[in-house]
Amino acid sequence: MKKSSIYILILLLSVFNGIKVLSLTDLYGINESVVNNIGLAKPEFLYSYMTLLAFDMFPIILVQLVCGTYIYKHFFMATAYYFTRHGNKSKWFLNESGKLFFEIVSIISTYIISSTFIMIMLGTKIDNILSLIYIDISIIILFTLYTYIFTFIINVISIFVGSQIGFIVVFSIEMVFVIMLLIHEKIGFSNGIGNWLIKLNPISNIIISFHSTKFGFNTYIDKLDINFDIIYSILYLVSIALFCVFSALFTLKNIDLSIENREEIG
Amino acid sequence: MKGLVKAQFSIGIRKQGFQFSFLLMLIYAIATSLYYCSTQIGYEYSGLYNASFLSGINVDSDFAWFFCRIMPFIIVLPSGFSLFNDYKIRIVTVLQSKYGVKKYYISKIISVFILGFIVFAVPFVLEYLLNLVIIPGDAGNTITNWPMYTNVYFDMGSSYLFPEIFAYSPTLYLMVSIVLTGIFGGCASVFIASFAVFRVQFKILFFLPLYMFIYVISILADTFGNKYYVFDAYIMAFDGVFGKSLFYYIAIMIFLLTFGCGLIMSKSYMDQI
Repeated sequence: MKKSSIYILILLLSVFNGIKVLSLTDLYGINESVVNNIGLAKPEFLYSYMTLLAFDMFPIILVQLVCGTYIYKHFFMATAYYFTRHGNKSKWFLNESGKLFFEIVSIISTYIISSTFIMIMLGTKIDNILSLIYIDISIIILFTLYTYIFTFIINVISIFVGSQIGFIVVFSIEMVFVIMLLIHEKIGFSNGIGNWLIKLNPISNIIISFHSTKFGFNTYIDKLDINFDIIYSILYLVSIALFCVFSALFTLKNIDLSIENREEIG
Repeated sequence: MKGLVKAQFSIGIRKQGFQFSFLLMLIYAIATSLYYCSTQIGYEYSGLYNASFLSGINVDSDFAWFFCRIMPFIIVLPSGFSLFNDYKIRIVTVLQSKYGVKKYYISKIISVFILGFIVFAVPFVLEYLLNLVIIPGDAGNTITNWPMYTNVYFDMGSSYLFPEIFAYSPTLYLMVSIVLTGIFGGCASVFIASFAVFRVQFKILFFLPLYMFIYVISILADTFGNKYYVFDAYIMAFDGVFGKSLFYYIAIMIFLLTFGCGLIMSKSYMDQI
């Protein structure tokens, strides 16, 4: 898919986000609109919330679909030609992983910033500009890391079994994490184990309203009051990402040629 | 033509995608049925749920939200890659030279539709048959615990898509809903399969069109009201959103089918043997 098509889709999504809040511009300020409509908020643990959450994650899923073959495509097409010309495959792989990361940063930033901008243009009032900048940057970092992890995993799985199975596996794992939010609610968040379990769920780490901050912006977030620092989420997701990249590097060192066409499976 | 449809169908049902999606729908349907049956162990006879309401496509079921969210992706698997696979392994040329370009594409559309229909209709029919074996035929409760044939029951039914059929027989209503869900599955399969004419390289991109379409519809529903939510309000049965329109549902299906057929048939004029 062309890069321009991806950015056009992302801008369209931002416009749709703006349309969603059009009737609510008098009720909510920009901070709350961003937290509710982009930041996967409304933490009521009902089945209907799970439905909304799964749909609000569409921009993330879109990036996974579009970038899910970013590294895989090099193993799929002309592998003999491509890899005989790269002296150090590990260096190449780390380079591609880095390029994938920056591609995702670019797409997610475009989505968040354009959505915020369109909401402001459509009449949502700006109640606290510093808080808005903090929340937007936090969402960009958390969404980028989360999307990067799962997009990277799709790429790696695709190398072995094809892109459609890679996506299905990753999407199933994400749905399991979404369902686990219901289990977290049953266990509770105030006790030790429940508190740690919800922080270990990758989905919880991208729901901005679960988090708290020491910078005085908890008015719009920290709905669960579980002392869930954004810095913790960033470090957690970064460590998962590094683990995935180096595990894949170790595994893929021995793969030279893609003899079988993985796209013909299934 | 009949032979070609039969051949394409028999190739399609042997594909892993079809088998996996059919198995998944079957497991979902049977698990829903067994879950509700297990919750009724020890119930008095008068409190048992009627077999017609213990369906995976009942919107009041505890797992309906999960089904609604995975369905846009599962629809791709039975036959969404069918045309893509034919292009990849170059069997297109062989079939077109033997049967003709137009006949090939028409038979492709028919086989894709049938495969999609089977995956989203047959498991729920089998589930109903299983329910009939387990639950007494004259059990009289819905899964929202309203007794049947009371004023509340009929009031709820007045907001369903076929209120007269529901009032006459909930079983008939369920069967009609299952058939419509199957038809939606078939239309959506044709819509997805048609994107192979763009010669996409990777199968992962086939998950995008229908999901985007459903997402746009959901934005419209957010803006104009819940009666436009295709999945929750129309594909699922026993949904109580007021103001639903059968015309809207059929229009969505016709759009998906026409778009898919149009895209595929436009290719038939460009193909040369």
